[in-house]
Amino acid sequence: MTPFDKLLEFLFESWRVDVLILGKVGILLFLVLYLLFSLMIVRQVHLMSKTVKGSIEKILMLAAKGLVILSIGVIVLALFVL
Amino acid sequence: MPDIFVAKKKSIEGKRQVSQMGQVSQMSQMRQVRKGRQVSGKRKRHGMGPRYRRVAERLSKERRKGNVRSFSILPGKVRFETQETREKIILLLRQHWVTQFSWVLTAGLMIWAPLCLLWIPILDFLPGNFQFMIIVIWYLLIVAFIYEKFILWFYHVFIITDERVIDVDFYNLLYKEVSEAKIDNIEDVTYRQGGMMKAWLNFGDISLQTAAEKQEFMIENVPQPFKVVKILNELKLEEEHEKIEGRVR
Repeated sequence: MTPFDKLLEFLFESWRVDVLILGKVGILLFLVLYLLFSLMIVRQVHLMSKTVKGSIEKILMLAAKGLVILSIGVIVLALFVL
Repeated sequence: MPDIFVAKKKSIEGKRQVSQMGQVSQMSQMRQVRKGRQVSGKRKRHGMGPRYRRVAERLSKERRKGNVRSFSILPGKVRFETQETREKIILLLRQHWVTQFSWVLTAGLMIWAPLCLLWIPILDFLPGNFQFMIIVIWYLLIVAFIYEKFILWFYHVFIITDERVIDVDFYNLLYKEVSEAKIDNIEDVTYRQGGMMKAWLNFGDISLQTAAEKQEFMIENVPQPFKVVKILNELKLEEEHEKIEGRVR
């Protein structure tokens, strides 16, 4: 193996590692954004149910909070899996 | 001679008694009406004629149970932000369910889409844990999509009360528009029902022309548009009656 080949191999290996780290960071960033989005949904459902009060608002609010819990759960899962 | 005069006197007294009794019964009827009770035996209310029944009373027989309906008559538990204490919701309208079919179908396809990876392995260049996380994220997106679409449909309502019409629009999660018009300001009500699907499933668009600055209200894809127009016209008439009697709230 020539020194040039060694250099290429080194570059490719390090690039591969970088890509994986970038992928991991990207996924975690996306999940954090998703968590913010789900928090925004909770707030929005609260405002919407103030505008029109019906009988399934509690269920909708519960579902919105469920979405927040789900997104937190997926962030924790991502930290373990990736 | 005296006999005649005595007899006349008696009849006058009798008439007086009858008229006094009549006044007393009228006053008691008025008191009952003020308290909100219906006058026994007759349907006479508020001087609107013996056969007159308010729109809300007439529609109470057509009332059906159900929380997630696109056409609710007298939805008892529903209240809205600017509702006054004595204001009664007559109709609550949402878009017909068939108009939501497109996103339901999209969501259904999205749920089954990861199965395509068995035949088209486009994620194979990634390590297994990354592939797994991408599929989890895909399903998170589907959940958010379904939830957002549902709440946007659920809260996009058109409310008709005995006093006014209110249009609540949520174009997306961050933009809300609430517009309202008094029923006596509505000048013209028209409805359109074009296309096979709309004719078959009986839904269409209603436009209300108002005298106010905002010229037109548009309610899109509501079920039974003819019935809505009929109820609106009846409410308009009722408002006119109330105006004549000076009972405007």
